[in-house]
Parts: sequence; C-alpha cells; structure tokens
Amino acid sequence: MQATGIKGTAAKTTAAATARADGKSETVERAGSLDTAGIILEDVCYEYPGGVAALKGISLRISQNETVAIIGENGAGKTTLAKHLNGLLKPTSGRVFVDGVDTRGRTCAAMARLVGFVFQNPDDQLFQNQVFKEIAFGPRNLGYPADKVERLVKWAAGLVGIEGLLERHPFDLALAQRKLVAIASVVAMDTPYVILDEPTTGQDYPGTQKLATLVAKLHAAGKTVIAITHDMEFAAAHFARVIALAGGRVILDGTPNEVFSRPDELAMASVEPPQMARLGQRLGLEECVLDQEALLRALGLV
Amino acid sequence: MNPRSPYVHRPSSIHRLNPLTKGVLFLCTVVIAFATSSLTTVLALLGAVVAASAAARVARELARTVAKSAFVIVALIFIVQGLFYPGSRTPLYVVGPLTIWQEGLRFACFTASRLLAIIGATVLLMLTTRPEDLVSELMARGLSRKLGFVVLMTMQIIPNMQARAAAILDAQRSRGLETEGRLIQRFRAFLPLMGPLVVGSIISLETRSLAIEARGFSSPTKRVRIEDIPDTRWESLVRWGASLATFGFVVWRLVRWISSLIR
Ligand SMILES: Nc1ncnc2c1ncn2[C@@H]1O[C@H](COP(=O)(O)OP(=O)(O)OP(=O)(O)O)[C@@H](O)[C@H]1O
Ligand SMILES: [Mg+2]
Repeated sequence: MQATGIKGTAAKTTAAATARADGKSETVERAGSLDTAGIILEDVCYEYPGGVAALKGISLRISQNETVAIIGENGAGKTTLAKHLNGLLKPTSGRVFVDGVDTRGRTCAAMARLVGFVFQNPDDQLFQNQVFKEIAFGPRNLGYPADKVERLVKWAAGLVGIEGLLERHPFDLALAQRKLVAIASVVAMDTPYVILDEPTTGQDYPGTQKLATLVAKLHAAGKTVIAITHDMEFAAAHFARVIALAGGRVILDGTPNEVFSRPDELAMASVEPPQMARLGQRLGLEECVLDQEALLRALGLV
Repeated sequence: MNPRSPYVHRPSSIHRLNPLTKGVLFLCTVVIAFATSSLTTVLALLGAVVAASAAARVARELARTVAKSAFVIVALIFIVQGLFYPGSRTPLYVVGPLTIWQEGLRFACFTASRLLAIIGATVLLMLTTRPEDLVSELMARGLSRKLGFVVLMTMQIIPNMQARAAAILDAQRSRGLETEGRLIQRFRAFLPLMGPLVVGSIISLETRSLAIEARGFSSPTKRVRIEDIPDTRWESLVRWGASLATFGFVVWRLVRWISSLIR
C-alpha cells in the first residue's frame, strides 16, 4: 500500500508546553505562502445554535505526520474541535486551514478527501449489510476504481485486524468490533489526516493494543493521526504530542512528558496523569515518568 | 427532562395550570376552529392563543415556531385562493394576466387564521406543558399505563430520530457522501440514512423497554406519584365549562347545518 507522500516541507511545530492561567492560547505565527502544509486553526470560536459556546478562541498548528492526542473532561469541546478539522462544523469566528484549504469554502464531503473522521458512536456510522461493503463505502465515494477500492479495503481491514470479519454483517458484531469496522471504514479512505474520536472506549487490552499498532502504522505511512481519548496511558504511550482542552480552550500543549508533568493545569482540565507519572510524583522524582521502564530508570534500578 | 422537547420553563400562571386543563382547552380550541365557519370566531380563537402565550411569557417562541412551520403553507393559501377561488366575482386587483379576487382573499384569510389558531394552540401547549406531566396526569385519572408509555414514546421519537438522523448524515458526509446542495444529491444521501436510523431506533426502543421493565413497569401493584400536580376546584370548573360550551357550540353548528339542508 502506497502511503500518501508528504507534500512541502512542514516545519515541525515546536510545541512547548504553554500553560496560562487565563487560558488564552498563543497566536500561531502565520504560515508563509510556501508553508501551508498541516492543519492550522486561527483563533477559532464556535457556538452551537442553542447558544453553548463550545470553543473559545483556539489557535493551533498541527504539522503533517504528527501524532496528537486530545484530552480533557466531558464537555471540554474535544469533539467540537475535531469536527472543525474536517469541515463538519464551520467556525463561528476564526479560520481553519487544512493543507492551505480554508474549510469554510468546502463541503464536508469535499474535505473527506483530506481528513478522515471516525465517530464516537459506530452505530451512527455503519449501515451496510456487509463489513466489506461498509469499508468500501468511503473509497467508492471518493471515486476510486474497483480494484483500488478492494485493495484499500483489504489494507484497512489488515491494519485494524478485522480481515476475518469482512463477510459478516456489521450489526451481528459486538460493539468493540463494530467500532473497529467504523475505524477501518475511515482508514480505507487513505486520507493524509485521520481523526479518531475516543477509539479505545469499550476495547479490551488486545483491542487497545491493536489501536496502538494502528496509530504507529498510520504514522509510519506518513499520515497525521489525531485521537481524542480519555485513556491517559494510551495518550502517553502512543502519541508524540498531547493537547489538553478545558472549557473550550487549550490549556496545555506539548509532549506527553511536558503535559503530564503539570498536575495543576491538568487538574483544571479534570484529568489525572497516567498512574506511573502520579507514582513518580509521589516518590518525589524531578522528571516526569510515564511508564514502568522510565520509573525504574529514574529510581536507578535498571 | 428531554433537552430537545420544545418546552420552555417560565414562571407563569399558565405554566402552573394543571396539564389536563391545558389539554382540554387545547382540544376545545381545535374543535371550535374546525366546527366554525365564521372569521370572527377564528380570529377570536387566534387572539386568545396569542393572549395566553403573552400571559405565559412565551409569545416570542410561539411566533418564531409558528412562523417557521406555517409560513410556506400560509403563503400558498393566499396565492392559490386569492387567484383561483372558485365562484369569485369581485376583482380586487389586476396584475398583468392575474386577477386577485375579493372572495378568494376572504376565504384565504379564514383558512389561514383557522390554521394558525390550530397550530398556535398546539405549539402553545407544547411550550407550556411537559408531555410527561400531561401523560402522568392522564394516567392518574385512569389512562392505561401501556397506552401512556406509547403516547410518551411517540412524542419523543420524532426529536430523537431527528437528532440521530443529523448524526448519521454527519458520519456519511465525513465519508465523502455529498449531502449538501441539489435535491437529487440530498435524496441519494437519504437512502443510506434509513438503515442505521431504523435499526438504531429499534435497538434503542428495545433497550428502553427492557430498562423500564427492569424497574417494574408491568408490576401489578398500585402506583403512587412522586410529584402531585396541583389541581383546583376552579380549574375543574373551567374544564367542565369549556367542554360543555364547546359541545354546545358543535351541537348548535350541527343543528344550523341540518336545518339549512332541510330548508
Ligand atoms: N449538538 C449540540 N448542540 C448544542 N450543544 C452541544 C452540541 N454538541 C455538544 N454541545 C455542547 O458543547 C460542549 C462541548 O461538547 P463536546 O461534544 O465537544 O465535548 P467533548 O469534549 O467531546 O466531550 P466528551 O468527552 O463527553 O465526548 C458541551 O457543553 C456540550 O454540551
Ligand atoms: Mg466527544
């Protein structure tokens, strides 16, 4: 499977942990004309028709081939933010660019070529009577020829680890498996950006491992992976960058080590660092440790 | 309870009325609006609805909802009846090849006001009464529990389905299905929508009925109510009065109609 190549030279954003009590996020330097690759949010605000202000001024830059975990408590605005990246929602004020394309000028279906989005609830998404057809729906919509569609379906099913289910009826599967089908059906569109809304919910340990492998493989294939998650271990272990939202604002943005070493700001987002990080803090370690190996190393035991 | 129900909570005497009173007054309004053929009566009903909505402090919501749901049909009534009302004799305006007739406009006024009175009364009831309160009150007065459940579910199913349909459409757009734009495209988008919508609704209905069964829905013991909805002698008097008056009105209309047939 040929991965979509990286166009342009995406300047890696130096995502230093920037925490501010007032919650104002820093203004991203404007992208030069040659350097529009990646996702750029400029002071994005969004208010739902009912009047709920879900996003209150978010400025971000996500470069190509980054792996980003978005964390934050229920109602922090994670899903709302993610829906802006594929044009499902258009900002009330501010702008969103994906590879230089302003989402306001595009329908969501047109953005689907660039950004794949897996919904939180697979039952909103699945509707075909066969897993194969389900996964093929997206690539077909993109107008790919039949042989390419088939190749993509097999590839995506392989990545997610559901090759054995292609003949089954999606509604006969357990929720965790339906979720994997929903993920495969978006991965199969082979978009340079893949957004997963709470992929690990309801997955057992092997299921979570499969998802971790998927993230690594998508990354290796040159894609940008953005996942919303409440699973801090998952976020810390498999993503290079973590963004914490609270009340519609970015309150922390940096590597897992940087973000999870700020317990005070994390508390503002009602998030607990991974268990090892908390243990490390209780043990009075200076540095932030995220897994057992790091903890043992910090204690001088290995 | 249900964030998508149109109910708006406001401190008003209309909101505090017993749901049954509001239900009865609503039915009376609808029956009279259907039975009458006098523009004055229909306008009086419409005026009563507007006055009641002002008393309930929901006049703006009422106006917005009614305008949204009835605008097109009211416009159509005026255009069609104004131009093509059969038996029109008095031309009012002549615009090019089209003639607007006085009789047609009169009839359009009447039909539109009747429609607005009925829609207005319905919306007013929904704005000021929680469906669960109305059903609970009916059940306390002997409506069967199963019927009550069916009524409540039916009232919830439409907003539920709308919300689910929106979520499903979003998911399909995200997979490259063009749902915005021309009608034919929207129609094509509609078909893949039906599967998950129906299956999802059945699954959630089944789950829900299991869940309420697990909480003793069909247990034969006598029920008590968590919250007693207050009722007064005065309100009971209003209900009986309004029902009798409406009944009387319908009888009177029938008598007049039959006697006009005989003559
Ligand atoms: N369709 C909607 N209409 C109105 N308000 C909404 C809608 N969807 C979400 N909201 C509100 O917007 C805010 C942000 O919601 P969002 O779904 O983005 O949160 P989230 O971080 O994804 O939460 P969760 O972890 O529960 O998925 C919440 O206050 C929510 O109630
Ligand atoms: Mg969410």
